[in-house]
Formats: sequence, C-alpha cells, structure tokens
Amino acid sequence: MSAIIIQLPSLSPTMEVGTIAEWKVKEGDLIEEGMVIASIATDKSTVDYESLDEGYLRKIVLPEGDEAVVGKVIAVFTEEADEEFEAELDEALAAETAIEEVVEEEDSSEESSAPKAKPAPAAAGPVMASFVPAVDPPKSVAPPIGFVSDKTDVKVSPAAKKLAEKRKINLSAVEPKTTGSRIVMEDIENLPNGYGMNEGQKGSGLVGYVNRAPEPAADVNLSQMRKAITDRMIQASAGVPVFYLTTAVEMDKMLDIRQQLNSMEDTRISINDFIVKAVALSLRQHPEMNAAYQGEYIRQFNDVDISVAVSIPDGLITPIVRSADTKGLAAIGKDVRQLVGKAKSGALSLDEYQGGSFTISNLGMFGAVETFTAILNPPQAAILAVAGTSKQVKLVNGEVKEVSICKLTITCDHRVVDGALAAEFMNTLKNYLETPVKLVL
Amino acid sequence: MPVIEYRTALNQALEEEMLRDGKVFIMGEEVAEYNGAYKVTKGLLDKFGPERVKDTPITESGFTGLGVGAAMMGLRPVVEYMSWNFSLVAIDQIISNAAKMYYMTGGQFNVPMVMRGANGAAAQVSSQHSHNLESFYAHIPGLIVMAPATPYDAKGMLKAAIRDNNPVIFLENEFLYGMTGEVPEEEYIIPIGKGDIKREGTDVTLVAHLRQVILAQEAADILAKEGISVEIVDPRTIKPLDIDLIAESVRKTKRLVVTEEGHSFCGFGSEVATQIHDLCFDDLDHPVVRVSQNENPLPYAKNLEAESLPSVEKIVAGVRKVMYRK
Repeated sequence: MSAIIIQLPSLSPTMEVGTIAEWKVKEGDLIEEGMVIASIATDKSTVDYESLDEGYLRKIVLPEGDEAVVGKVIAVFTEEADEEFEAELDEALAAETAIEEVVEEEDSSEESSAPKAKPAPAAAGPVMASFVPAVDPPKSVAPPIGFVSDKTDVKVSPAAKKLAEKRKINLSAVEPKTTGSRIVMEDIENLPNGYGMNEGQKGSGLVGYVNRAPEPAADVNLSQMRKAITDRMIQASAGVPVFYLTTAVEMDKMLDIRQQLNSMEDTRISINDFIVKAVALSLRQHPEMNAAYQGEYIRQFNDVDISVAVSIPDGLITPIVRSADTKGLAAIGKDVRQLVGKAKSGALSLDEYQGGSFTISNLGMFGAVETFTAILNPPQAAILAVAGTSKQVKLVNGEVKEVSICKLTITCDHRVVDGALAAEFMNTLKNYLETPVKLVL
Repeated sequence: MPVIEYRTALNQALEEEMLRDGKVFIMGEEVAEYNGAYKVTKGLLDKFGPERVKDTPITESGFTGLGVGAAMMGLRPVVEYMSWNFSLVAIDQIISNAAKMYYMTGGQFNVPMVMRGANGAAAQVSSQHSHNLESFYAHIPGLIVMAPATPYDAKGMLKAAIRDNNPVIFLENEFLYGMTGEVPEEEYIIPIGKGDIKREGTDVTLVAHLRQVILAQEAADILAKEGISVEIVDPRTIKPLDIDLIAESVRKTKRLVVTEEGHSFCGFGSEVATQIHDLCFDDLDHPVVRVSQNENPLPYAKNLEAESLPSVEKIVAGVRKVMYRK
C-alpha cells in the first residue's frame, strides 16, 4: 500500500505549463480507471483527462485556476480511503523543491563551471501516476513547426547572451553594430530592458493625455492562449522582412451566385467559404506561395491546408481546413462551421489547429474595416487579410455603376516570396473571386 | 611610510628572516664580499659573518645541490642566481631534486629552500641572458613560483617564501631593483598564492606580473583617456595561482588581457586563458587576448629587442581588441 502521486501531464509537444480549468472530482472520491478527473488548459486548448490509476483522491494539491509546469504534483491518491499519505506527499514535494532550487541555482550561479547533477525525482517511495488525455493527441502528426529565426548565423558573445537573457532583450532584434558579425556587450548594454520583445506595447509618446483624476487600471492576467498568441506574434514580427499587396475585388457576381446557392434547401455558403476555396485554388496554381520559411530551407507544402483565424473569447485560434483545394464549397462551409464550434468551446485537438500552410484572417463581418494588414502566422510564408465589403461607384463605358468592393491584403515573408510572385497570386485570386462560377465547378 | 628601493626591500626581508631564524643562510656568486651583483645582499656579510653569507664558485649545479642537501638536513638556504638564465645549468637539481624530494622520500624530507634572482630581459643582454622562466618552473609540480612587482610585495613575499617548507622559485627583475615604493617599518607577510588588484577598473581585466605591472599602469593611463577603465590584477604568485581573484575581476569586466614578458606558446597567459575559459566562459565578451614576447630569440639590437618584447603600445592594442575598438 502506498500513496499515488499525480503529476501534471504533458498533453502536447509544446506544452510546458498548464492550468487546472476544473476539477471534476473532489477529495475523498473513489476514482476508477478511465474516469475524467479534471480538465486542463494548455497553451491552445482545454482537454479532459482520465485517470489511469484507481484509488481515493485524498488531496488536491493544485487548485482550480492555478498554473503549474509539467511534472508538478497536482494531487495524491491512496489505495485505501483512510490510509496515511502525508509523508509520501511531503517527500514528493520536497524532491520537487530540490529540483527547482537546483534549477534556480544554475540560473543564478556565476561561480560553478561544472554542471550540477539534478537530483532524480523521488523514484522510490510513492508511485508516480500518469494520465492519458481523453482525446489522444494524434501520434502521426509531425511536431508543430516552430518559429525558425533567420538569424541563426548571427554570433553572440557569451557575456552579451547572458546579459540579454537577464534583461529580456530579444537578440534577433539587435544589430551587431560593433563587429558586423557578432553581437557583443557594447551592442546591448545601453538598450532598455525587454528591447525588441514587444514593440507593439511601447508608447510613442504622442498619445494625448486628458487631464482628469487618475483611475486605477485593471491588470488582467495573461491566459495560456494570450501568452501563446503573444509569443507567436513576437516571433512573427521580430526581424522577419515582410511586404504587403492590396487588391480590390468586385464581389457582385459572387454575392449573386451565393444567393442562388443559398436559396436551395440545406445549403449555407458564406463569403468566407468562397474566399477559402478561391485561395486554395490559387495556391494550387502558385505552389511557391504555399510555403514556410525554415531557416536553412524553404518548405513547399504539397497539401493546401488553409488556417482560418477564428476569434474566440480567450483570444484567437487558427483551425485548419485540410486539402481545401479538393473540397467543394459546401464541404468547406461544413468544415469551417464545425471547427469554429470546437474552437469556441476549447475542444480543438492539436491536429485541427497546427500545421496549416496558409492563413486567412477575415474581418469582413466588421463592416467598418475597409482594409487591414495581418501579421504572419509563422512559419507560414503568407497570410491574407480580408476586409469588409462596401458599395462603391465605378465608371463603365462612361456610365456610373454601383459595385460591391472587398479589399484583400496579403502579407508575405520576403525571404520566401517576392513581389512579382505575390502579385501574380493576387491576380489569380481576384480572377477566381470575380468569376465565381469557377469555384462552383 | 618610508620609500625604499625594491633591492632594499629584499635586503630587509633577508636580514629580518636571518635575525628571526638562525637556520636561514645565503649562498651564491658574489653575494658576500661583493655585496651581490645587484646589491640585494649588501651588508649582510658584515652583519651575519661568512658562516651564513657564503660566496660560491661559478657552479650553479653544485651550489643548488648543496642547497637541496642543506634544506633536507634542516637548514633554510636562500640561493641567489646572479640571473635566472644561469639556473638552467642547475635545472636538474631544481626539478629532479628540489621539487621532487618530498614526494620521492614519501614525505620524510622537505626542501625549505628559496632560489632567487633576476628573471627576464634587462637592457640589451640578448637571447641567452633574457630568459623568462616562470612558465618553465610553474610547469613542475612541487615548485612554488613567485614574482613580486613592487618593493612592498618583494619584502612581504620573500619573507613568506623563506618561511615556507617547500622549494620556492623567486623571480625578480633587473629593471625593478631600482624601483622605489612605500614599505612599512612594521613587519608584514604576504601569503603565497594571494594576488593583488594593482588598479581598479570596470571595462577590462589586465593580468600582469613583475615588470609588466609597470607597463600595464602606463597602458591603463593611456586607455583611461579613451574612456576605457582598466583593472590591473597582479597575481604576484604564479603558482599556486590566485585564479579566483582574476575570475572575480573578469566577471565584473567581461574582458581579459594577459600580458607577460615570456613567449606565448605554453606560456603563463595560455594557462590563465584556459582557466578563465573554464570558470567564466559565459561572462566573456571577447576571447582572452594574450600579449607576450615574439616567437624569436630576443635580439641584441635595441630596436629589434624593443620590437620583440611586450610594450605599452602592445598592451594598449590588446585592450582595444577585447573592447572591439579599432
């Protein structure tokens, strides 16, 4: 008989921390194998977890709403309802503290040169239990493609690297001015803390202040998703050379066909579905656009997997319409509706939002947006920003005519895509959208 | 505080230790009647008599061997080499006997002997009389190697050397004998293995010993005008090396230059560089830079000699290099 120590499991290849969204059981409950005991929020989704072990839940160590790193003790089971478990729990927590101390010591140590051995987790004693997620992360899916810096060949002196880490300076935003090839102390000593980490949040100093009694600001803690968005957007902005192209598309024919299609029973096609399809077919014609920058090489995807940005209460997620070029409008529409539903309930699985080849961000439903530019979704080489459709006038043979115009703006990673190629792609896309019958075939 | 010459500081140390301990005696060429080639032993014959201040023939191997034997039998010889260049004919006694006796006799005999004299280049004495032997002797387990740069250090360190129960290689320099500095009247000892910050600074650590400390000071003055603040660390004892003091300084400045009068290959600077890379790799902003004598026999010609030896200009250039300045 012994206590069973439950640790926070790693639920995705990128998961480093998780938050207990909800405990589905309470202290004292008898847990059976396969029972869902908690839902855990990771960096992207919230997943239910079933126990692999049986026993009595004696103590919840990590309360609801609290965040912890993978491997931290979150609860303890015992085989009997009234068994002693405190000693073994203390031992497991002590081992955890010891590891943290070593890690901290290593971080702060300026003395030691020899690496310290990390104490092994308390292997003897309590049994370490493991969990499987109720929805298995698909094993066949390749690990998500991370952001690959284009500056892997820039050297940094050890001292400069250490200082940058301490002061949270983003080295990929630093120019090696002193040597031309190696970032050294002089290049970063006088930079402010956090340099290059969060350009968007820095005030320009031009903001007008109203003279009034100060009100305390509300500080909202970053959710897992907000942190993930922050990290990816910083990656996408830091040192990536981008350019933008905008085109105006006449939407009248498409709106007409859409109306005809939707007049049929059980058919519901959105403007967005047309755009997904048109983008997919255009990518098929210009496969160089369907690519990702990978540092040493450019990956050209053979599948056209369109990531669609979806706004959800927590932030933003990009579920994927797989092989969109092979699907009809109705199938695309069905896919998107299903994915959006899952996204809003936080139930997307990893393969449903990781690994797309091109992203569409559509703010068309917000009529006020006339045009906008999107930030890349790394490592993808391009993202299309779809603005609202508005009525405009057009001269046709000397006559004034009313047309519906939608402005599309593409953001391209210039390391992968050049202007002429992007212009051809936009031409093709415009042609598809203005000849929508091609999309119905 | 009295200001005295480096040679006088050594003389005081010898006299005080001979007064304190009747087992201490001096041996070497011209140390007695002539008062020493560089007058370090001046007046000691008169004070202590020929039993304790002994002139020897020009036989370094012989009197070094005598010293080893005397030390094994309980005396505390201070052997003077007119210059360390002449120790090379006695190197077997130094390395195979003095350094190894304690080990080879299983700890039955130690060798409390100090060997001292001028090390390095003087003025135009050419390649056979300008050897820098700190790296040679520091290479050998069993030997302590000391190299004071100032009168204050010379006195305190020689007293520590005489009191130590191991053989000590005590390196002086012809240019330094006439240098003056403050030396207190009251007794003091500078422990073996304890370095000294000769000048505090924030941008670059400059390790220098013996005469290089003087050149380093001049270089630091020039660099200060360029806004570069140099910290001069004088290890004083080459072995055992006060690497902690150097490392502490490097962690502060992030940059290290080592200057030495000897050659660079397998030299003292290489040793410091390696140890600092071990201890402070993550603190370095530039690889460690060494300033040393060119890889050639030291020429007699004044211009070529100056070109071969480390200089204020070469030290300044070394510091600029670690600062990435042109």
